[in-house]
Amino acid sequence: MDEKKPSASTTSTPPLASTAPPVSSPASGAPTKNPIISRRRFLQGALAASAVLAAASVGASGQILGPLIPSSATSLEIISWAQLDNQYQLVRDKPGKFQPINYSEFFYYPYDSSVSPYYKNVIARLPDPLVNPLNASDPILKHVAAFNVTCVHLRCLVNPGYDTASGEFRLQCPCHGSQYRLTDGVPVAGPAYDLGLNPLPDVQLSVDVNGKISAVGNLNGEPGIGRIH
Amino acid sequence: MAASTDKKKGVLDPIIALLKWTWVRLERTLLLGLKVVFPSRFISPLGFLGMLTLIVFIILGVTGALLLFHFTPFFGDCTLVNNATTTACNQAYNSVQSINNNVAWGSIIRNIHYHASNAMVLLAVMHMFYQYFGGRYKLRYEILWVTGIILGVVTVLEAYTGYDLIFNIRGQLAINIGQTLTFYSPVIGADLARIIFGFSFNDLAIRFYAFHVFIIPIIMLAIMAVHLPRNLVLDIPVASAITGVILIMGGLFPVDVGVKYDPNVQTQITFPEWYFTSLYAFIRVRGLAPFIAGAIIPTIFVLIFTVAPFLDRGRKIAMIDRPFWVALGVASLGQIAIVTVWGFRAANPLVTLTDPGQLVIDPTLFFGSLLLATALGYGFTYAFVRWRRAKIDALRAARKPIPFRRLQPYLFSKTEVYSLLGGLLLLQAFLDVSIFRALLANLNNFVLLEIGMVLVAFAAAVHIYRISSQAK
Repeated sequence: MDEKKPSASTTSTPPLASTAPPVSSPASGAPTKNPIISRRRFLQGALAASAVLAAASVGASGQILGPLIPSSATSLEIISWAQLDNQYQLVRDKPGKFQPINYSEFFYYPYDSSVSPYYKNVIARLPDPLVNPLNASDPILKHVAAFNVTCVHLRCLVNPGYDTASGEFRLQCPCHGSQYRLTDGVPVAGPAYDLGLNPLPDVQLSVDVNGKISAVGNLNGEPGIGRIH
Repeated sequence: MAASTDKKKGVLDPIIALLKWTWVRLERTLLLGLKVVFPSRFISPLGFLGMLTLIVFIILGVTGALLLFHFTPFFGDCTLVNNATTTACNQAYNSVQSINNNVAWGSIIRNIHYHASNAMVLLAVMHMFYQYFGGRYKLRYEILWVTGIILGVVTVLEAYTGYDLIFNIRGQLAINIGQTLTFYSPVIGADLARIIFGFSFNDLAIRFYAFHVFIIPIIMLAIMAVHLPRNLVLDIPVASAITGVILIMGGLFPVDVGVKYDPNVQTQITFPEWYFTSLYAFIRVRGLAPFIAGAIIPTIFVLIFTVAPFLDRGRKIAMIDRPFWVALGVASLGQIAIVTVWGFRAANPLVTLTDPGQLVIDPTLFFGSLLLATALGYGFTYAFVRWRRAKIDALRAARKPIPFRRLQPYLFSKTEVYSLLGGLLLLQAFLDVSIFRALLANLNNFVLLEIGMVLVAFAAAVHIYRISSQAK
């Protein structure tokens, strides 16, 4: 119905003689001037530019959707080596109680428990002769392992335990049965192993002269995502 | 109006005049533009399942609004004090528990809300399949169909945000899985997860609260505005019966609050709500990545239904003329049934569930059963429809009448009608007395059950009246 136009997006506007390309409208009153850009072209361009700018400004304001991130701790004193080791020595000869849950401690780091359960971590005294390969050089820390307990499969919280079938100490997920080695947090069974997911994020530890073990810096990895080497 | 001088002046005249005045002015509004039919004779409720879904949506809105007064959308602080969790931990759960145990009528309202949510999901799915088998997705039904599919998906999302808000271990499982699936979405996953779930659990509580009580219902209303057909059927007795059934379910199977989620306590094995067990089954298949299992597969399933009107170009809508699409619908129903059953149970249904390792489903067995059910469902339905078609064609070719069986309704005699109506009235009176007794004794389940029965009895009474007036 309209004149032949390159742009197809003309709606039900009445035919505007003055804006039409000169080829198609010989009948209408010939424009006195030959403008660089027709009025309709200008209006369409202005409208498009304005839509793009409006969309950009809305996009920039999308940050309102993001949550506030609370401040994180840079270090946290967890437990003294003597206390942790003592827990282990107390139960090491009792077959019924010789479970890592009895010589480990849960703690929240770098965000406290009011922020999210996903920042729950566990520190365990590794039963002898196990050694933590991540801290193999330190005389105390090589007997200790600390991991974030958020399962990288579907974010349930794992527990330190003992797998009777393999005779290994493991972090076990109560939801879908993923299992991680207690020494280095690498998945060894269950869905996390089947899918080849990342190891659990580990907590970087330091020990002071009094034997106090502290968590320092950031987690090595993201809770629920794992450690990316 | 002119004859009113002859008539005696009634007490109700001013009220009737007011109603007329209002009615005339309502003609200027949208309300009278909707053509609502109140059927005078019984028609199958399958035809207006959508309207019933809307009624259940309204019930959910009302009960949900009442629950708002008592719910705390806050997770709180779960720091251990003297090795024990304080009441500050998981306040959302605590408030739901208090609604269930302390708030007057709290457990009744919560039960209605819960069972109505199940009913809404169920009715929406039934509505979809009825319209699908009836062929009402093509031939100018496309927009109704696609908005309906979107509405169905949004309904399930609404149910998801709702049961997560309780923050029991079942809700926690759903939150964990939802967060993982969102995070693994390509490109925008991490940002999207932050936007939907927030950073902390308090963010999560308040965000899901906003989604559940405002954002998603508003979206649903907006889609409904497009999805509502111009002709609506509002059958009061059937609506009353549906409400009654929801209440009766609430009375018979009162919903508990579940086990409190506490990050300090060892997680237990749980299963999701029934409309998610199918997804849960896929997620538990060995070697299937969670994003593929929980997001891609259901999206493909929904997309197949969404594009059905654009692939089915036939002009015929009778089931007998659409063997492929009918068989596809039956096969998908079979799939849903099989996968839902898988989702409810451990990998081996014969062994009691003791160890989370048992939850992992063997892919060969799972996909084998799925393929078998699909193939059988599809094959048998396709063969059956073709066989019927051939039979009718043969009859037509032989110019024989096509046998058509219609169930004749049983017509009550006058005495039967009177005695039935009288009996129902007596039953309602008895139930009313019983409700008050139950209320006084704080027997909330009885109250629910009996109110439900009164509503069903009302529906039955109207139905009997309708049949009797039809008989004349």
